[in-house]
Amino acid sequence: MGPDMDDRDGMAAEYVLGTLPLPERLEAERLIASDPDFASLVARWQAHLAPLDEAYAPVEASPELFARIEGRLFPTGPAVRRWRLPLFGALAAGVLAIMVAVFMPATQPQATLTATLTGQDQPLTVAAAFYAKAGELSFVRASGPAAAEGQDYELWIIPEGQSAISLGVLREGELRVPVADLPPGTTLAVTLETRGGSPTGVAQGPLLVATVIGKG
Amino acid sequence: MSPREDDPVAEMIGRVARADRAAFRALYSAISAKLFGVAFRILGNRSEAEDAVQEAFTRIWLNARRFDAAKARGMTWAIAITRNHAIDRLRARPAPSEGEDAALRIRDPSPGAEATLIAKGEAGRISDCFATLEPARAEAIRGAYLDGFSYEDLAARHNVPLNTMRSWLRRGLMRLRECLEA
Repeated sequence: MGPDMDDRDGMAAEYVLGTLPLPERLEAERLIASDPDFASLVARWQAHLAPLDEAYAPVEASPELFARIEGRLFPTGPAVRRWRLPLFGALAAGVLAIMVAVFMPATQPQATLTATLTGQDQPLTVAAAFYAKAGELSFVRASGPAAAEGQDYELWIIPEGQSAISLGVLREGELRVPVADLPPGTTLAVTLETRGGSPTGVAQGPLLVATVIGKG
Repeated sequence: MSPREDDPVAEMIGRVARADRAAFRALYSAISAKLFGVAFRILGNRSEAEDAVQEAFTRIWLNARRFDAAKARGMTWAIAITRNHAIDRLRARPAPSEGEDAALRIRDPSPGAEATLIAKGEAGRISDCFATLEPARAEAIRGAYLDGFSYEDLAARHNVPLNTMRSWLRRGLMRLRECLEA
């Protein structure tokens, strides 16, 4: 082996070191989940650098934090309300915490904007990137577990004031769909559906994460 | 000997994998201060660090079944989850506004105290290997890992071009690995 790292090993090292910008970190996280060879490169660097962890001094968190964590994982209130279309009404009613899309400099080739779909008390996050030139919208699961056996995450696009259109189901890896335009006010959302997506073409399951494209 | 006998954190994660909420509580008591220390150092404020720790424990609960005690110590696994999430959050922050010097945004760690800390225990070997690197490069690698400094932060801090910093770090890491695997 020569003194230079190949690109994948370099990416694994820089992921563990933490120096990569967000789009490349998300790409590395996608590879860790989908590519066992890449995951083992990351594990090897993690094992090498982990002794540095000793330098982190413990700091007490606030006493309420554990209750917050338990409240999120083991809710005791009424079952999560199912929602039906029109989605936009539910969103406007403030049922959900919406994070306004974050515009970032185009760090990926031709990515016009990127956004993160999030939800309150929801471990799942989905990264979206719009490529205006190619007319494509790309999605990848950035964090949180895969959908359980027999279920799928289904993606929806909701033009402002209109009803939701299914974009397909999101499993491991990237989902790319042709989308000509992504004007401000458009909502992107993910629901939990039975395997293969909602059979009716209308969302049946709970809304997990969403974002509204900002007007900035 | 089971790999868990000397690793109580791994043993607790094993019980969490079986949805044992008492074990989850015990795990929280045992490691939350360390994980909060990690998130707080990287993110620099308590409220965001608490959000990050909440997310880390959520992932620990959901992914405990994937933890393999034969491959990593429990604390190492939990810290990696926390660090990776905290750094993702840090990178998701908006870029600094025009004219704001990256060097002004970054805190000043005390490398002296750190070097003493990592000279102990399991960290002894990596500390010896760090000593074979040029001091500025060793400090850049430590700053990246422990404080979540980006290439931009490090380039500004060490007053070198971005690409120079990137190749410093890559070469430094290779050297470190050769030393650790020797």
